[in-house]
Amino acid sequence: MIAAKLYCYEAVVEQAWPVWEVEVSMNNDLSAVLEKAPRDCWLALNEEQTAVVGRGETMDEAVKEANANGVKDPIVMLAPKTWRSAIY
Amino acid sequence: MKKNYTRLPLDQPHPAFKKETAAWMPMLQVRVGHNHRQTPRIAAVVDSGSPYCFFQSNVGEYLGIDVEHGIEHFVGGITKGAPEPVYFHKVQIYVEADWIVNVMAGFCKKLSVAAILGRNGFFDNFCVRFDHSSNPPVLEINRIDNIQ
Repeated sequence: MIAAKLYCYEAVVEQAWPVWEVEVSMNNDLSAVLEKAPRDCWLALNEEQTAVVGRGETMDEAVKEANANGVKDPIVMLAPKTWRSAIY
Repeated sequence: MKKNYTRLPLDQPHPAFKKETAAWMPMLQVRVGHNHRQTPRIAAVVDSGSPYCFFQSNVGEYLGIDVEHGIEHFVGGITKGAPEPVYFHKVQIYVEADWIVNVMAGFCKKLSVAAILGRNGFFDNFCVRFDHSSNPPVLEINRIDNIQ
């Protein structure tokens, strides 16, 4: 199952969106995967939160791109222009 | 339910805390529902300093809400600069996979995050504990029984 998923993401890299995939521990560490991801846009992450599988100017665009990349139920977030310690 | 904080990147470390190259944030995954429509899971910041729950306007548009026809109020402190117009609508928030709460939430174009879970709507429905004694810090939430 895992191998199939990895294969899927590799295929996606060539076909649609360049997917950043990194190893993460179970502690919700998104710093590595988000550091290199696009800014000032909506991002869609895969269910394991190990890869950006979609982006867009709107949440809808990011979700559609994730769906096109084979991720049916992505987790979406808004990436700021600059990652800061405060949210405002 | 206990959940580790989420580690986010930091582009410019705080000048007083130069060794901190990432920021731990208390975050939960929520879906927002309105009129039988539902968003995908959204990464939401749990913020006891926020008086209300807020969502980026685009979340409302995704749900088919005519955002600017909501109850208008100008709110400062959630965006940079002058107070921004926020439009309040009744929505359901599906918290992680466990709970649903009905909330009057504000939708704002200039919100820098997708969602903020604040006092009215979230903290009055959940007991929330922020535990920074462990590494990573842990967020614990429990539904308040007498509201269910």
